[in-house]
Amino acid sequence: MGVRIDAGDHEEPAHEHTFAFSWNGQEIRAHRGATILGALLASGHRVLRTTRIAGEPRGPLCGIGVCYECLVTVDGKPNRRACVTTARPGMVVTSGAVARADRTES
Amino acid sequence: MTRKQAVAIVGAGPAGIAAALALAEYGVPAILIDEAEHVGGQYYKHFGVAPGSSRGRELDQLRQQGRERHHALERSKVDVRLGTTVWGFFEPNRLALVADDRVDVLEAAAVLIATGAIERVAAFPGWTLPGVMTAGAAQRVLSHDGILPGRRFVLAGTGPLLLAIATQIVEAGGEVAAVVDCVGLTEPTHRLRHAQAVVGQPRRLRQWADYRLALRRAGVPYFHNYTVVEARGDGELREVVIAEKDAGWNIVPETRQVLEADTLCLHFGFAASTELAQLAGCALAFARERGGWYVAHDDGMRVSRPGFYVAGQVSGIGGADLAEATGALAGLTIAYDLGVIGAEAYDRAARPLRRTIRQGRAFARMLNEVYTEPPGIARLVEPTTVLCRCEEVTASQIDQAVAAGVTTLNGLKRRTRCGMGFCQGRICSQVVGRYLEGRYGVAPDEAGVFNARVPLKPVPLGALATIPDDAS
Repeated sequence: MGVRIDAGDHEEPAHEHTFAFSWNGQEIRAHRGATILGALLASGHRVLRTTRIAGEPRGPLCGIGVCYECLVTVDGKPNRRACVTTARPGMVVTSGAVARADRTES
Repeated sequence: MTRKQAVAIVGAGPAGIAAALALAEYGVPAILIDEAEHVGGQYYKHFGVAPGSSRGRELDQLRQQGRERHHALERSKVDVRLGTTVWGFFEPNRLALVADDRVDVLEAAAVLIATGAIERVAAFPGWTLPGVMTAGAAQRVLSHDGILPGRRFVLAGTGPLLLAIATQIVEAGGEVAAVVDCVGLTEPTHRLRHAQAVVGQPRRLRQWADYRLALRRAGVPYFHNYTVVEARGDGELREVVIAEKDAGWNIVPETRQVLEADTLCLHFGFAASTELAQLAGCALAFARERGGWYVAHDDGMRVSRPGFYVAGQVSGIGGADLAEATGALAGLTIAYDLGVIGAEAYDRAARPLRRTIRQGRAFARMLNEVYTEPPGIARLVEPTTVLCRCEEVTASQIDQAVAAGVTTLNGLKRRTRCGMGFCQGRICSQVVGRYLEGRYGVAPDEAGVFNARVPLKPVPLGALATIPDDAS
């Protein structure tokens, strides 16, 4: 779905290095400095979780860490915001049910 | 560890940076805190970013400005704490922080709240589908990650940013099926207000003309006085239904169009992020010309709570130039209140800033009053439409609560759980507030705002165990 933009005239070749992390068991290539959200969108993944009550698919909404729609589990830690979490080599990221905000956190 | 004596600035956007630099100039120690891993907030987020964002004069200029601010901060003695979230406030003036899953408590000589704003969205059938996001979210992944978050876009809402982001998407190679603006500049009152405000704003006029030209050249259809009606798709967005609306937000049936799109970007202007100010007991005020709720303040950016100050969007929506002027003024006032500068020096330095602020507010007033979603937008909502996304509260649940006599946001929260989820009502306060106003005629100051509560943002339990002993 997403499209990576050609580096064009950008001054720093920041993205010559890519690395891999895992999304629901699938390998995702990411560029250094990319957010988990950016890397997932670039690979065509925009459904990041399903809701607790209706089981509806959800993806990113605000992109700046406010709406908590893009919550994923990162290396076993639940409810991490994909939009403000930098992807790192070897990270294990999964989608998953989200607990109630007033009940549990990692 | 508890630290004293420094001024805490929450938010490292244009306002927070300007305040920090003003304080540094007078030798006042300042700690500049931001949740992001970079300074600049949402405005200068193009700084140090990925490919694609360097296109266009405007972004280049922004990047240059952001770089200058960044370097000025590096040269200064300002203590910059990135990746740090303020999640609580404790009497008398202590901020609870969390960074890297570790909690810290900061005792400040004064606190400047420069927490910025979030984009406003609107609820309609299908707005929770993956693929529907804010225009700012699309811009952020484009600027930060060099990713176009889709292939075929519809942008809907209102305001200059809608045009700016549509242009950015087109220049990055994305296809924009339509820009759908719910405001019609064909309306004479809007035209007049627009004309009044842009006098003396040639840079903005030129900017807007550039966007319109770029979009016209790219063959992007531009719909005035239209609205998105529905988003459709099986698990992900596939189609966007748009239509013309009349003054009462009745859809004109024969104008309905179904557009194929995988990404729908929403933008209805901004709403001030007032939660920390509320938690600290700072009084809010409501005015459409300020973009809705904002933190009440005097002409030196002092708020109702002694030792607390406000700057930037949270003092009224109005863009980066205004934010910087209010930030510089707040820094100056803090230096004055701490006895670092005298009255004469203060007045002299404050005068030009106050002039900039007056002009900025006049321009912002037009933007906030013209480019906003009228309460009638609530007519798009159907009974099954989710209004609170976190707790999955539908319009019909809100209807039942209203039928039982509940017409305040806090009352609805107790009864329906709306506003109790992870986002703490930051998204649904706008949506439910508009719904109450549009459907039931409940004025915003009657509906009120959700009470802010600790933690302002979710804090992992493990992090709470790291609270230092001397913090209690």
